[in-house]
Amino acid sequence: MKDVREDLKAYIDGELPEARAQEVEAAIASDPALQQEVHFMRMLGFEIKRAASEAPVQGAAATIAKLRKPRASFGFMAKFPVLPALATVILVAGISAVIFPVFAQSKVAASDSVAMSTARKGGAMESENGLKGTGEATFGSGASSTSEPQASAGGGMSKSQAAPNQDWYEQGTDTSADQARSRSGFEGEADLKDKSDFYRTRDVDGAGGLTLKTKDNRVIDKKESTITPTQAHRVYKQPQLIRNADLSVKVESVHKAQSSISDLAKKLNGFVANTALNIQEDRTPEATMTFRVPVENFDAALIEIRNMGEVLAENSKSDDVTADVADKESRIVTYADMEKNLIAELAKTKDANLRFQIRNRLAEVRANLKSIKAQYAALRDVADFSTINLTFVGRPQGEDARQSQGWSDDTWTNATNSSRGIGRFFGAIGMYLLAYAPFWMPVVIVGWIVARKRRA
Amino acid sequence: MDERAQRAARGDREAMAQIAVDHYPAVYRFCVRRLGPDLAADAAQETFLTAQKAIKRFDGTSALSTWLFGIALNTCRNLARKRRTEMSYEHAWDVAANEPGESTLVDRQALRGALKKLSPVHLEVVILHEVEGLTYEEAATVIGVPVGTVKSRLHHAFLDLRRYLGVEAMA
Repeated sequence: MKDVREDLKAYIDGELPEARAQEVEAAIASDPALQQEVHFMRMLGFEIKRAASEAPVQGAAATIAKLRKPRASFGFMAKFPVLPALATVILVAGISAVIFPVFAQSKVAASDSVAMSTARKGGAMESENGLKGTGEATFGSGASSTSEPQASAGGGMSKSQAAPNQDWYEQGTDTSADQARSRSGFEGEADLKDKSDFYRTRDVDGAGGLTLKTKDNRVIDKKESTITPTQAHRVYKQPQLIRNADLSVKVESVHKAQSSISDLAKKLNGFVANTALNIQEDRTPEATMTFRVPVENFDAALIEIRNMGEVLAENSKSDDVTADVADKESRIVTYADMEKNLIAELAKTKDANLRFQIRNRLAEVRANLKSIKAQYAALRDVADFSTINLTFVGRPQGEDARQSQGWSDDTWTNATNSSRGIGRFFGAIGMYLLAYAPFWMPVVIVGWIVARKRRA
Repeated sequence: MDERAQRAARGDREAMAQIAVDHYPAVYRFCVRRLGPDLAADAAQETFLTAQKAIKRFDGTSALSTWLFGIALNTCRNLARKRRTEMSYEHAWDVAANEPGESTLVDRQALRGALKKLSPVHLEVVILHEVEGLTYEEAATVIGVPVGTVKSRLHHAFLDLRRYLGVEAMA
């Protein structure tokens, strides 16, 4: 049977089941010691209650008033106002972490854009100064040497002079690019690139020849000159840029990188001009490549290359050759006109001495014309295709061998790299939090104060 | 279930205020005994504000006072932690000695000394049952232990008190 003493307190407090209470009661009745103990416990309980402090009640009115006062409900925010503030801060930091790198990249791109916009301005100025004039506009704008004829509409091919022989020329009189487009009604057989809004006529016979056709494909003129007077009025809406870049990229495998560049060249309508592979003294493989892409794909190519590995060095530059191109084109036009005039004069002249002089002059003009055409072709080539010089630096071959020794090394390297990445991520978060402290700190402080007030 | 508790659960602020009118003194004293008079008002107010938010969860399986004591005990613990202190029962007892002519069966000074020697868990059940007047079941609900534990703790607490007081302490 269970010790009665263990249940004495519960018996006194009336907390025992009826049957057990009767048992305990019987035991107490027959045992004076138990009776004394019950008496002591009752007395002790009584004294404990008397000894308890009965402090005067304070704060009841304030509490009751507060309970009656309607409280603005903000749901979860009211309960934890600091949490939404913190969430906002983390959100802002996260968005910034995404936006800032993009912004930084756009800044890099902007540096190119600045060059381009400067070039565009240059082109516009060129247009205003020379090309975008009337039918009598002066070409070359001083860029030509004095020994060579300054190109001008008066160089023998004014509109009125050309009109009888060239019906397409009659279709317009203005010089703006749009109007030139509408009036020309012809296309050169060579491609008309989108990036240039003027009608570029290209050498189609490999010797600077040009075939002009109407839209119904009727050949109206075929001559040595690549540029006609009307074309000389065209306006460059986009600058003619020579864009080059030198990049050094650290990659896992130089062979893969070379292969990727070949694929990239195909994808971007470019080509790999040359490639070479060297193993350095420390057994580091190094591949050098010259990669050429259409100028409009230059930026896309750079982005793809940067993503291939860790960029160790990068240097890109843009040269605005709009003025050079326009100058050479105008000089070609002028020389072609001179040649034509000289031929006409030669046909009309009977005087032997004069014919001799005209022939000499004609030879001189043709030589200059050929030279300028060659320069122009070279200039167009470098303006149309950008050059990217690449150096891919691989992992030292010894290191490759070491790394292939076992999966544990690889795993360990990956783990340390990823932990470094995580550390960098949290470090970046910390920096953003610090940088944005003037914005989020007041929010957190206000939230904290509100929370305190609400608790109070 | 208490009718005012039901109204309070439906958002009736006046009902909650009435509950406070009835129970505030007991809750306040409950808090005084654990935190002292300086923090008791804060703790009592926080108890009722918490109860106002949580009254929808009050299901009436225990007495409203028991439910409030449970909240008060948690509030006292949290407040003590925030103030970087511990709940102490030194404020539970009247510091005054026996008044002249007052007849006590046990010397009050000796009783306070003996109570001080009790372990916190024993003292807690002694106060809940002997001072606050809670039944074993109610005390068990407040401190979150089985009823048998309360019974056992009380038994041992009184054994200890008897030992600490000794026969000579008896008046």
